[in-house]
Amino acid sequence: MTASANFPYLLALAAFLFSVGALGVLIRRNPIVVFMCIELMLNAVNIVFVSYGRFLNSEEGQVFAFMVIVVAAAEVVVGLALITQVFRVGRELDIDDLDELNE
Amino acid sequence: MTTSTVAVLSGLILLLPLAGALLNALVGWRLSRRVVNAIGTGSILAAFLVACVMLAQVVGAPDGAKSASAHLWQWLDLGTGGLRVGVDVTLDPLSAVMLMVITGVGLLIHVYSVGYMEHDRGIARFFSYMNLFIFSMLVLVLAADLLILIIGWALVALSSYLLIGFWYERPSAVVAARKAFITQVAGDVALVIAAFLIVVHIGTLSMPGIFAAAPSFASGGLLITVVCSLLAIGAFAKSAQFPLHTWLPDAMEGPTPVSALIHAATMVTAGVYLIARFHPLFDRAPVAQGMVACVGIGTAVMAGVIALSQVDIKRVIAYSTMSQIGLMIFAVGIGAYSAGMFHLATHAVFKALLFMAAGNVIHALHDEQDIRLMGGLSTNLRRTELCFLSGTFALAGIPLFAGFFSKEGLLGFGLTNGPGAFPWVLYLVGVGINVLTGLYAFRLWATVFRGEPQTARVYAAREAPRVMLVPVAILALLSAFLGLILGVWSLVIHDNFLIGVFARFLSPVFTTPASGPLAVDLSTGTAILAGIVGTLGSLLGAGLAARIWLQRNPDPSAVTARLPRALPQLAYNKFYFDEIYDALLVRPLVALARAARRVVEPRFMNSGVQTVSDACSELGAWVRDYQTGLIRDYASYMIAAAGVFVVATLVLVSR
Amino acid sequence: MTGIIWVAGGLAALSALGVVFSPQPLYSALSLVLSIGALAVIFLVLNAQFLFVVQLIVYAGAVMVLFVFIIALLSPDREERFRVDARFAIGVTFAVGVTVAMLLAARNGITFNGNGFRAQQIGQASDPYHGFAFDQSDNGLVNTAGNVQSVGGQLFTTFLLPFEITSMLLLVSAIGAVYLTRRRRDPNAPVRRERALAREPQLEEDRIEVEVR
Repeated sequence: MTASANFPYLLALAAFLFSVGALGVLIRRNPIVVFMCIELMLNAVNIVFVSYGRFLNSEEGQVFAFMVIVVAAAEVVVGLALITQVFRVGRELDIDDLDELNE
Repeated sequence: MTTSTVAVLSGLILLLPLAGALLNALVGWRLSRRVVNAIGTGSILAAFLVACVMLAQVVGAPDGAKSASAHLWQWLDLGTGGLRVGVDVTLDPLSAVMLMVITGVGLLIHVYSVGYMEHDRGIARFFSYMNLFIFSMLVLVLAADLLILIIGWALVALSSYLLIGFWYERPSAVVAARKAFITQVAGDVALVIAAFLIVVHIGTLSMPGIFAAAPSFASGGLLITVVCSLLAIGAFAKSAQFPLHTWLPDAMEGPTPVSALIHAATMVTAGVYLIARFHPLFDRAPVAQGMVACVGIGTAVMAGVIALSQVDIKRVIAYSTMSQIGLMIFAVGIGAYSAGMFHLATHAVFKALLFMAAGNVIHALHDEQDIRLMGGLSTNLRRTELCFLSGTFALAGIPLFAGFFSKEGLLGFGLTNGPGAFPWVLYLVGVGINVLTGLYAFRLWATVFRGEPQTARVYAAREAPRVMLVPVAILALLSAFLGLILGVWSLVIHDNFLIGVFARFLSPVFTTPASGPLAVDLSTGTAILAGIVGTLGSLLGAGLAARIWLQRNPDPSAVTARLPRALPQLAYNKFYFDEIYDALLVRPLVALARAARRVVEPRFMNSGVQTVSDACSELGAWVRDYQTGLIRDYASYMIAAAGVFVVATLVLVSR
Repeated sequence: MTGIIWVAGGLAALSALGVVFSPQPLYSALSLVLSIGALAVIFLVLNAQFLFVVQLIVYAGAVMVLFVFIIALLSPDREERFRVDARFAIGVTFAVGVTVAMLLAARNGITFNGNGFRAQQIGQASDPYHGFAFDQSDNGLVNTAGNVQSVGGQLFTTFLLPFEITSMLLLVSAIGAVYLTRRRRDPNAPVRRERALAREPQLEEDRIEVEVR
């Protein structure tokens, strides 16, 4: 059995990682962990890109996965900067304290 | 004259005023007054130059090719067999004449406005409205499709509304603007119904299509009569003809340049243009034509009588406008289209002149409009008086002035072409109008400029600045010599003396029908007789006016005392039309509305509306519980939805 | 090769659960490193050598170090217990539902044609790989060992514009991060004032403690 047979299971793995990441976003209150869960979701998408690229015999899947990694890095930089700035003012490290959207 | 030339030229002439209007409307408030003036008048100057090129194109075109249309773009297409409306333009002698009138007189009035509106803060708004008006009027005139014409028709009503209500702090101006708009919309409705009937019968709204299909209407049949009557009602509303005339005098609430441009020279004559443009239909509806002619001449008499009794300088001129337009409507009603158009052109010149000269007077007297408080202005306003006098002569039809040629030419047709069994009856009424015109024209001049000054302000009056005098002077020269030049030219080419060149120029449009106007040769004895009698009427009126008012202390009450007492009273109150309409239309409507508010609304409307609003606030309260402001809650909604979507996709897409 | 994929995939799945359920952020971060490493191995097996390297250097290296730094800075030893509430239910249902559905679909095969891909009917075992297989010829661009060159060629020709836009994005985010975290010199700046206010109670507590002592 070659790698090809595993392709649907790779999609299933991606779905699992994505949904577990989503679960983490929902239940964790620590914003840093929430960010890690988002990274997990992005990685799940990367698996889909790369395995489809392999399946369709084209590099474009890898190119897009590369773009996703770059965007994820940028997002982490800005996101963590925001987190440090928000919590530097002395708040608890709890995402549920940030409810200014309610006003 | 190729299609592409027409397309480019008409695109230019339409876009220039529109661009000026938009520019002044959007950024005018932050530009300096000088720049605003330059944009406002510059765009019209450019449009005037384009109009000159267009006129040259028409004049230069060989006979038989004087008319050209261009298709700018397809606006509406309902497929095969359905209605198709193209934004089409037509350039032919008729529209060329209108273009020259609109942009030429419009340009002079714009220049005049620079001086007249000098101290007004809303100058950018003013010029943007004025340019919008010019644009709308050009759309109306150039349209080669009835629907586009109606759009222009409604747009001029809009700009007229905006300009009458320009000084919106005055309640009277706002009321007058509303009145003008509502009355004109009544005419728009008639026009739209006429368009419906035409579409149902012919299947197209394109004017060439309509005119080509005109023979499919039974001549004198019911349908064509109804269509033409509706078109005529639209024209009456726009041209302030009985019974839709009451808005025009009130429209004088607007600034004087507006009165000159819209309510004297251009917009109010659009009705004449409409009937002339749709002459292939009107030629087949003698009943409607007769109705038009009678309404025109009736309005002319009525407005002339009222003009004689009014004391507001602008209202006198407004009623004289109504009267002169009545004559034009009469002319197009008896099939004398060229004569009507000629009078339209000369009238635009001398009536704009009269309004602007009156504007000078009002300006000099610091917004005094009551002629009883004027008098003796000739010493201080010499130049204005000279110009005003030129306009008065032209209006009264004194020989060799512009109005003489057009009015006598127009009435000459009345002798032979009038409707009904006695065609000359209306002509005799026309001679009576000549007398009236001479009376009120010279009365106005004599009361304002001659006699003893009635107030101290007259002594302090100062002549208008040059920017306001030059346009008036140009128009004064035109109204003195335009008719003469064209008349001499006509003599030179051995044609009809009175309106020859003009009629010849327009003849490609008004192709002579068998019994049509141009079959009558005005150089015959009858026509000359008609002209002489008419002129005598005008001179009689002028002489009477001089006799009554040209004294140091005129006493017109000695004259009115000899008339039945009711007549001056009726005339002064404009025959009580406003009161009659108020009692017949306004009050019942207001009463109905009050009743609806008292009965219908609480019983039938409120419960339903209340239910809807309650439901909305309940929904809002319910949704608000979910707006916690916590990002994780929002994410959970998103993910729940995504989960539903994923499962649905897998279930629905799987085979 | 298949075995490697299964092992790495299982490891990635398990460590993903670790990310979500570890009570301490630091353990979450370490689990994430493990998960990312396992995914990098999968990339390598799928002939994406370039991504393998990028994944290890950028993710497991740079990004995770950043995470660990921030954790160390902000919450050195903070435990967190999560409640079983509506959000938890939604998340678990979503995770379980999607995973099970995809596993069933994978077992029954997922087809792909010009119109898109379709899952075989869930729960009916038919031809598992019907109409669906990797290009078996090893001459293909992706399947040749070492396709870094061709990926780079694509990046710098066909996808040059997106690539440049991404680089702009990186630059902007770097500037943004510097702007966000810089210390404000202006004494009237709101952040500074809030900080001072937030500190006052602490000082109060300190004082009380001193008194107690």
